Amino acid sequence: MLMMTLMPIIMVGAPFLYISIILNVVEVPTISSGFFQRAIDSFVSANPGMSEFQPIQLFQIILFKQGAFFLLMITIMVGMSIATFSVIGEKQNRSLEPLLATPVRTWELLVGKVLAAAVPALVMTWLCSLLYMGGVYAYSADLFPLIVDYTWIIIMLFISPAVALLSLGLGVIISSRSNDPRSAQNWGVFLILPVLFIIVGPILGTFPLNITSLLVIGSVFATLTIVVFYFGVKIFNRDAILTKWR
Amino acid sequence: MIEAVDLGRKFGELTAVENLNLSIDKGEVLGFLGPNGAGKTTTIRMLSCLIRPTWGQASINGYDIRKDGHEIRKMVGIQTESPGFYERLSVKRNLEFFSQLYTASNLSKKIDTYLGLFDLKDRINSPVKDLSKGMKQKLALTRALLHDPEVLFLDEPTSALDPQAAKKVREFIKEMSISGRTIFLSTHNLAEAELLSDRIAVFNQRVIAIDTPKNLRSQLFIHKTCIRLQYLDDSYRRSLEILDFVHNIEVIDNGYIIEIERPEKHVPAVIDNLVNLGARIQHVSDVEHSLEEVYTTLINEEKEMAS
Repeated sequence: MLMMTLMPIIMVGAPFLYISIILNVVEVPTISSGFFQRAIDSFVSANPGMSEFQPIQLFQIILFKQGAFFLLMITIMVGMSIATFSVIGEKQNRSLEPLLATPVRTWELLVGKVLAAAVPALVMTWLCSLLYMGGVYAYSADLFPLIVDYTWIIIMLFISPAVALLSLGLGVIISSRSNDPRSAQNWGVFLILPVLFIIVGPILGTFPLNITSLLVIGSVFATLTIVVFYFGVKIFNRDAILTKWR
Repeated sequence: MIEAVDLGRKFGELTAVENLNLSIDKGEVLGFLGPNGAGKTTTIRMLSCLIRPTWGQASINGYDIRKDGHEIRKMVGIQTESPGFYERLSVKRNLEFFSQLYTASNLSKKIDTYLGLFDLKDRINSPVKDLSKGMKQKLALTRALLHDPEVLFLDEPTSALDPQAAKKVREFIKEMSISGRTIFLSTHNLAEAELLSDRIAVFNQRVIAIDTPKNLRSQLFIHKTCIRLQYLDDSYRRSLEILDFVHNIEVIDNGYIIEIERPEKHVPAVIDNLVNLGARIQHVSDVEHSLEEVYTTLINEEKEMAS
């Protein structure tokens, strides 16, 4: 429950907090050097039309755009807290045996479990996105169209569902292989670390933040989701779940 | 309808079920009796395709439990050992959810009928967590029936029920069998097993005996007949003792309990014998061994053999 309430607040507020701290603590010349400059250069090279802006404005645009990836954390963490509990929770509530006695197929069960976690996680993400967009508009109406642009829409409508399905697919598989909810959640956090790569990627200049890279990333996640589901169905062992867990 | 050939299951080093062989006809009720840990639930889980056997074969209505799990699960209703519901959802929502997985038709009518039958209609909108253990058990039976299964696996169906509710459930099980459903009834309640079952299997990792209750008795015990007389006389007993088909005579208040081979043939001879000696017979009846005696004898014999 803490994850469901605290995480969205932190993720929506974090970019605003960083910007206010950096602008009040770090001097402008510092932004134009080192790590910050690398991030700005990478961003400008991916978006040549932005070269006319001042470093301080570019820095704000980059950080606010980064908010979209912070919002992905909501998708992952909220969804994970549901997904990792999905199978082991049923076992604990003793509803798993009657469920597995029905003619439901393994892939149907896994898809159902993932969607049951993904829908609330995505709804929460999109609501937070609206809130965040409101915040950005209130902060600077001039920068708003530069921040909430096509990349934002791709992240929210393509990458966010792809990340949700992949990470929650992993979460459900972990839940079906774990012996208790706590270890399922620990494994869940461990396994989503690679997913977090895309959040810090643009800041580190690992990949540019433009439509091509976003579509590639989204496609990679979508492909991985299919692979994860395929293996998830293969390794879902009804027998072991019913007989080995206590 | 249900066939099992050398069906077995091991958990690590522990053999839970060892070479189960049985055949259950369509519309038959098989009472499955055995001590705790005998492997009854494991057997039900294997036959309903919840877990895989380690060895052996079994089929339900021609479908192989190893290959046709999906088909078997569609035609089988199972009341599991623990009811297992979504506790925060209402009774109705739980039943709707599980029925949708079975794609059951005429759902609301069936829900109404079964909940009415088991006195749960007024709890239809209550969260399951608010129901008593017995109510949950009746609800689990309702859930097992909503898709009109051809085969029912019932694991202790009346264990948590009050006598009145248990009676209702038993009557209902009887009706189900009359309507042609095959029922696999695992229970510790011997009276219930005898009342409902066409045949009884006494089971302890393997089938120790399987037959009708009457045949199980006759296989284990010599028939006993109780003859009550107006008064007793020593000559009566002596005359009976010399009959070679009479095995044992127990003297009771106003009569005898006699162990006799082939009673249909020899009881009239015993009565003639007594009447010829001037005995005034008031009442003749069979003395039936209880199923409990049958069960205990079989299980004890099994233990002795094992040790």
